[in-house]
Amino acid sequence: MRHRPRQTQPAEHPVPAASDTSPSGQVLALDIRGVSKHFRHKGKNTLALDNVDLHVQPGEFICLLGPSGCGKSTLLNIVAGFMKADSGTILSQGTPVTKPGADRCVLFQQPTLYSWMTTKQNVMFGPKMTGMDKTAASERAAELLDIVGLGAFQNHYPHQLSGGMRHRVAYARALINKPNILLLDEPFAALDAITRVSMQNFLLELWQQERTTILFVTHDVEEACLLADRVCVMSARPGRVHAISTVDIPRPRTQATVESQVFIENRRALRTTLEETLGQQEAVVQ
Amino acid sequence: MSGTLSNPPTAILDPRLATGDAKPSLGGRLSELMRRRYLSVVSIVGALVIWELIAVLIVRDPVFLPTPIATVGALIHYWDRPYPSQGKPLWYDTYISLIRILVGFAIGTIIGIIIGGLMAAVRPIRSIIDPFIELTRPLPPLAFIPLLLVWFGLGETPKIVLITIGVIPIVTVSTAAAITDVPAELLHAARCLGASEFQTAVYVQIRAALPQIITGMRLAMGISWTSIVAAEFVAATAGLGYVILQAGQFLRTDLIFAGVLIIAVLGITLDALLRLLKSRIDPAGRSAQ
Ligand SMILES: Nc1ncnc2c1ncn2[C@@H]1O[C@H](COP(=O)(O)OP(=O)(O)OP(=O)(O)O)[C@@H](O)[C@H]1O
Ligand SMILES: [Mg+2]
Repeated sequence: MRHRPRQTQPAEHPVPAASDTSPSGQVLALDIRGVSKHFRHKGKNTLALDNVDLHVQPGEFICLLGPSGCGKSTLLNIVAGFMKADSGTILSQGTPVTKPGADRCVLFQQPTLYSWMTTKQNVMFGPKMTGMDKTAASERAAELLDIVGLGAFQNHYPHQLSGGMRHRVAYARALINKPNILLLDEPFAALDAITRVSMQNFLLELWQQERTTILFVTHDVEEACLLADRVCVMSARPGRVHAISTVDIPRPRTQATVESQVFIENRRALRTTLEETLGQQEAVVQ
Repeated sequence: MSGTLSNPPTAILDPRLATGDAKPSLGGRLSELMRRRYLSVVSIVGALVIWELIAVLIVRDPVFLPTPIATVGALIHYWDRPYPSQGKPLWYDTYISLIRILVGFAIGTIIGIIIGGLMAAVRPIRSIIDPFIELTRPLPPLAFIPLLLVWFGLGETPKIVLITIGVIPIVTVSTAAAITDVPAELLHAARCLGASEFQTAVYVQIRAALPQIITGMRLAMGISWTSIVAAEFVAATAGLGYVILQAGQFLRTDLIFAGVLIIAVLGITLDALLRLLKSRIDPAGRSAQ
């Protein structure tokens, strides 16, 4: 169980900048340093990310929260290696990021399973590509499918599974590579309300069990509050880190947590922080 | 590590999970199939009966309209006897046409897949080839028959080339479209799972495009039959088109129908083989077929 003193630190004074280790001396799971990115579209320049810094501890669950267009997806795509930053560096466990890799696994809004492969073959895709020992991979795949509750569906094809089940296969497929960090861009946004809640529970339990570092993009305050250790609140135009809030709610968390007093307090604080960014934005517009 | 998450979330929500079986029951599928097949069989038999009745009761002229029974009779009779007397038996004409189709179709498909793949992979190549495809696509391949005869003479070459030039644009366009239509997220997902760019192209992009490429091949197969029959009308001494033309000149309508029947059976068979191939590699499309 984690318990941190609640604090909201302004982003202008982040952890000592020129070090890729956490205070405890561990190598950071993800170290984003001074990342900027602009887009030119029809002759108009958009500064999507302006000098963004973010330091993610190993095993941490961190949410990116911010209004639409503040550059959350852009940042995630740069971390994943799908996109190049204009400036700044990104270190994944101390190694500079230049291209996509199995150390940073993205989970999309769609489960993106391969329709011609069975559940088990989908999970074993990564090990097959990286040339991992086949029997070991097969054992681990079966184990992971058990963990996500799909042990009985190893030989089913994706179209024979429900939407929620497909998503859970996608998590097993990601975890088999032992990624250093999971990158999730509004993974539950396309789901119906019931599946969304069950996937949130699923992710909480999975994280509790596997302790994979997770960077989770959302624009839902409640979701951020329920899932995260820390929330990186971003402001738009240009996309900046406005504040990094620590969510001071004991774990393990469940849907019942949502009703607790401490949750309500945290959510109120987080909402206030988010509203500050909107206020800024309006001030810029006026 | 090894424990199962206590509450597999969707289990309660998905009725298929109750039995642990995501497929509809075998009995249900069979009876569904029987019902559909039953109607098809009834409609075919009905059409044959109507044809027989019209031929016997209304037309009453076997030269103008032979009965279905006479057609099958002519087919069986000439299957291993030459027609016309200086020609070849039907099985030989069938064999000749089939070889021409298969060779021309295979060459055209291979070339089409290569060009289509290059178009999808390299932007400039696409820009270079696109206008030619757009230009040749509306042209009926049959318009090239006289030219091909001038260039290649009367042998097998002009027939095979004709089929090939009918197949290439169709397969090229469907291959290029199939490969570029693969959602980018499928490719991104592969890179995140440790696949190299090359592995992603081969194991995900091309693999995901295969069902749509085969759909293009089915279209091209239809065109191939048109091409071969037309070519055999114009310049051939064997083949189903040649037999049909000869039979027409001798007013043997029963043999014309027999030739058409063989083409229909072969066409349906080859298409069924392609459909089978598609359903083997595309499990998601199986139920839709
Ligand atoms: N390919 C692109 N070309 C031009 N502009 C882009 C491109 N991608 C993003 N942008 C711009 O960059 C800014 C940040 O976009 P991004 O998609 O990262 O926002 P977001 O925070 O993910 O928003 P949302 O919550 O709506 O998903 C936006 O102003 C957007 O218009
Ligand atoms: Mg986004």
